[in-house]
Amino acid sequence: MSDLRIEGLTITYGGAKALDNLSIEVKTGEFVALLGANGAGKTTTLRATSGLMRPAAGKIFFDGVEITKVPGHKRTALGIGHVPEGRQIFPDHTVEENLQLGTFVRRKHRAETTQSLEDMYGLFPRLKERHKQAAGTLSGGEAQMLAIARALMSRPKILMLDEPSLGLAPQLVLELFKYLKRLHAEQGLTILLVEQQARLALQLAQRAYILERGAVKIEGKSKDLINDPRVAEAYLGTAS
Amino acid sequence: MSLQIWIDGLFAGSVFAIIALSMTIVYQPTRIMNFAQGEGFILGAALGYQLVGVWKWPLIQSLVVLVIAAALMGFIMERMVMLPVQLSGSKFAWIIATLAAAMIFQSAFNIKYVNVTFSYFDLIEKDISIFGAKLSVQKLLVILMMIIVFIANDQFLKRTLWGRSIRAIAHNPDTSTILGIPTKPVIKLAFITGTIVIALVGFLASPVIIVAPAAGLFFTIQGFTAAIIGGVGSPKGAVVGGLMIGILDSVVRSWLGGTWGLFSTFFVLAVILILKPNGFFGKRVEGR
Ligand SMILES: Nc1ncnc2c1ncn2[C@@H]1O[C@H](COP(=O)(O)OP(=O)(O)O)[C@@H](O)[C@H]1O
Ligand SMILES: [Mg+2]
Repeated sequence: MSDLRIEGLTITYGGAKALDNLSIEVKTGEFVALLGANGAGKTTTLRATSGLMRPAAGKIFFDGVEITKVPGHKRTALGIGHVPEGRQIFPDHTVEENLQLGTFVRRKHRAETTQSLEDMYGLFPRLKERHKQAAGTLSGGEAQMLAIARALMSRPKILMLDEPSLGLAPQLVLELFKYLKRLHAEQGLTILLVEQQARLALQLAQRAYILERGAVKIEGKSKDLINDPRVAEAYLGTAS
Repeated sequence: MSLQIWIDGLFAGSVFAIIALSMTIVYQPTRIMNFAQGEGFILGAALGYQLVGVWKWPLIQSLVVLVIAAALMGFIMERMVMLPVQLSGSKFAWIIATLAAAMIFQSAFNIKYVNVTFSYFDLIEKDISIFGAKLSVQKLLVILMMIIVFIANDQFLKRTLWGRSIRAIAHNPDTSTILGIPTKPVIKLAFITGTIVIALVGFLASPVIIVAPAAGLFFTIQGFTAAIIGGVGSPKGAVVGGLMIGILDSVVRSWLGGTWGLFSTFFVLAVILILKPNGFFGKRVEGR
């Protein structure tokens, strides 16, 4: 089970509301996209779910249990994986050390984590080739693969990705999305994908929420939204 | 030059190296140079004076109380430093927060121990002779402690997942948190460990070097200097920097007289900052 439910979440920076009574839900096994213009509140939603921000109001449930007050580092062990905006790999650690840091919550199961490392190298062969290199020397695409692999090392039940395509060449974006599709289809991973590239994300995801100024503006099945003129509009809408 | 000068330098250098190591332990997850760190040295000296010197407590009991008191001080210090840093969001909050903590502890020591210098009899009254030079067992203990703290810290950082996590926290606390690393407890533990280490060397060394209650900042600056010369954040750098200024001080003193010791330390610091701005073993610290 990996149901994620956010109810009436409000988050403020100083006085300004970044999220305003936001409610979304991701059911076990779903692939959901979270879309919206710059500043709509997508990153804030993921950060709050990971426990990096304290909400002013609202509740977050995972697996039917309220986690609003659970400290961030404990949510990883519950099964919440997060690939942060801008990848945030550790540049001075080697590729392999980055991956090992991803096993922190499973560190007591040595044999299992060694196996996970092999699995990741199987999934991303280029990381294996570069496993001894400082992660700071990777190209943008490799760094993104590393960020995803690192998050997978904790064996998350749900994987949240924050604009993984940012700064990647179109070719690499397609490759990246192919991986995500495989993770969802073959491993049954629940995915919450934040994207600027709405059209691509809608082709992958089953459902989507479109945020505007910290609240859900439109929600629905991807196949209905993909031709919805309101979606394009939301991206042109003012974000303040 | 007599061997005695080098041995005295090695002892002084070990004291500075341990101070620098304790500052390094705090720096590793936080990237904060704690200007209040030297107050832990004074705590060790004061407790040695009070428990062993005045109250004549047995050594083991005194050490137990010392470790508990130092842990408590580290705990309080973490709050005094990290709370303003977290609340302010300014890049420079740590400077004023750690200096303020230093001043507060210094005042407390001054109130209790006005006009006292912390010296008590040798813990172990025995000298070893090395080719005619004298080394007291107490000084030898300090040198051994330096080696142990260095190896423990260095291996911990390199070989354990916890050690790698500490480097990760320094780079990006939020990303460490989402990987499940308990960043805040690790930072608390670093302050506590660092304070225990420096309090222990204060306890061991104060009978030999005679420490005043207000001298905390002096020891902080010596440790800070050692860390900068060696390369901030690196355990190896802390040891090399500490030994360098300790030995240099001892040698220059014997040549040119006491007042030149400190001058030479800071002269070397200035030269090294020009030639090797990141110290011998330091990495360029990139902004986040
Ligand atoms: N660190 C911050 N300090 C102040 N305001 C912020 C900060 N981060 C985000 N915001 C504001 O919160 C709102 C939502 O931001 P964010 O969640 O990053 O949006 P998105 O990821 O959809 O682009 C925006 O108005 C943004 O300006
Ligand atoms: Mg964002």
